[in-house]
Amino acid sequence: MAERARVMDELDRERAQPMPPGLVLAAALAVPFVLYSYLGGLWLNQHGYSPRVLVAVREWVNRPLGVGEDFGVLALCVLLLVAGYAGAADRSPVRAAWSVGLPAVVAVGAAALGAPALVWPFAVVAVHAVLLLVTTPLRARPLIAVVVQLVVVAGGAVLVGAHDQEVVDKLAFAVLPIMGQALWLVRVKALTALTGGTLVVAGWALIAAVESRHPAWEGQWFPITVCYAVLVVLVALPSGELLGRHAFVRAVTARAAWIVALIGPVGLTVQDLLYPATPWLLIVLAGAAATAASAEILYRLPRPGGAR
Amino acid sequence: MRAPAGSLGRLDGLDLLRGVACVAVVFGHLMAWFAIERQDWWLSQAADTALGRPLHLNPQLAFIGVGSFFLITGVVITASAFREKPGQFLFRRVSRLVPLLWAVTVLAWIMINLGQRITPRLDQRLDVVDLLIGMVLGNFFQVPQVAFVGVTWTLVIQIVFYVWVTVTIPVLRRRPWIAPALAAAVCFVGILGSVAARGNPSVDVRVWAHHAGIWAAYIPLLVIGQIVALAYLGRIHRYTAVALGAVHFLLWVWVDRISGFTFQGDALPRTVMIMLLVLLVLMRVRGPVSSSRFVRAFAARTYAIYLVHVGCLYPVMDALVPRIGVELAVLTGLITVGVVAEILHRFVEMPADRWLRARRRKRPAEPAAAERAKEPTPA
Repeated sequence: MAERARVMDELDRERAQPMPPGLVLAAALAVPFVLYSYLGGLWLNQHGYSPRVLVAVREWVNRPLGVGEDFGVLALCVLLLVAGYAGAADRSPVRAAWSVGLPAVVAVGAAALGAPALVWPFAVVAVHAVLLLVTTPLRARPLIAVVVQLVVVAGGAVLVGAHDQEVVDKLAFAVLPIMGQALWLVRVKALTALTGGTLVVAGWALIAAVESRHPAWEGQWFPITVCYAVLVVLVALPSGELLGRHAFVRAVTARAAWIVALIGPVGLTVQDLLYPATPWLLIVLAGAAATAASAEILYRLPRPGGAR
Repeated sequence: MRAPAGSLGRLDGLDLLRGVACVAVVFGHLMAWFAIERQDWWLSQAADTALGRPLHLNPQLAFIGVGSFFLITGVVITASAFREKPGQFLFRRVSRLVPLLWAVTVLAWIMINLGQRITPRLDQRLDVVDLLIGMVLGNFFQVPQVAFVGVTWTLVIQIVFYVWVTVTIPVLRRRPWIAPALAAAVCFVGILGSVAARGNPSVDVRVWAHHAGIWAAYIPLLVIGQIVALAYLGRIHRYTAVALGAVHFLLWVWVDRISGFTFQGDALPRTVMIMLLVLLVLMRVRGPVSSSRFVRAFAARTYAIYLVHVGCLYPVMDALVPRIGVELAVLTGLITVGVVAEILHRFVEMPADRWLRARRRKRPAEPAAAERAKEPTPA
């Protein structure tokens, strides 16, 4: 009992620490890639544009590296890893989820109204928040807690997959926040690097298993995308001392959830309104600017208790 | 924590990566044996299912090992280039490579003349002139090419890189960013020239242009390692490192696109990117596993294992698989590799290195013993 209490005390002490600047930087770098993917590459192709620069980037970077969807999924994977790290580092999983709660409500609301919206990343964060909440009694046994979470996601993927493949395709990404959680546990020495590494590999194996069983994932190459995301976060974790503390970088990271939520309802809607009367470059820039501006406005809206 | 200026410090994680790379190389050649014999083996299929297919890597996970070795070489050699004079730098690199290379080449020559297959391709009988040519890696320039110790094609690339670093040491010390930038320009011209020479009527021109193209194709990987070291040492800004690294990586992608210089498969860019990220992660790792005596000892023997593994595995597999089955034959082959590598490491590699260093030590510019202890093994 004394050992468990000591572990919990240590974890609570570590929870008071701010997010490492390297992760702040990684999340901030992911944001423009999400914009580039959904407002740039994918929208342009859907509307019959194939600018040379886009083709060149795909030919010289995306295809050789095996990163699809113009880096969009890669960037979202990085954000989900960071979200998992932040969720585990927060004293309250509910509060951690609440920080993306309003953006999630906006995204879900927009989707319900028929607007294009990225809902699944918020669903994944919500699933992780529930898992964190459910495994709260296991906080003093972090290894068991993470294993339980992975088993639940794997079991859920199997059970749900029998009925609804579309759901399981997105549910599988719930291993990413769990991987982020494992990284935090290694960082605070609640797990050894070997144990944490094994858990991360187990999470990746689940993604690989889903790919081999679900036709919808064929040609998406998600396992290699997830592999890159994990490695990028691992490289970033001990880095970014200068840039990660920069006010602009922190500001971009703080608004990441809003930007992801508003890409569809604001960015794509603005782009669709401007199409086809405006040149494609202006359309993309207008979409990105509208998304960023609306994210800024909604981020600055006063909240009860001043929480963001 | 940053290492003292001009030194990378002890990078335990690189020992771990060196060990992983060595295992990957041995595994790849082991699987190549099954491919040559048109046999399936469960481990080959398991590796393909677990890693190859999900990550869309090359067949037999090819180039994970060699690519890692190139990156590691670029990293560790750069620190030495800041400590040593150009002549001393080249002498030390060659003195680490040559004695074991010569010993293994002689053994390989004997085995080939005894009719053993020691590379994926069966060489014909070789005379003494072939042996002498092989000892200076000239077999790769013979027409038709003699495989000999086939894996030593990578040593040719490494030696070209050592020569390049030796020549650019003065620039590297004064304006470190110029050396990799210059390397990018030279590699670009080399690849371009080699492609242009493919239609040349002269066979000699075509052959030499092809070799130059191969050097120019692989050197960017070593330079990427060099750039990592320069950033780690604080000699260049990280943004500069990212920009230079991107240029060299794009050169590598270009090589992959135009084909004719590489032979390992169509997943080379992502293989290198994954291993580069792994290298960047492991450079910061210092844990009980990476700093264990086993990992250090294994890393110290990777050069010996690298040189002898095919020459040990293939004859053992050829002889034993029909008699005792695959699993026992593989086990016997791996034990043979371990024993032969250990003998060569203890009785050839290290004594020769100590002897050469002792002769060199009498000269005044030799660095302290503590610095020498950080010297990495070449492979």
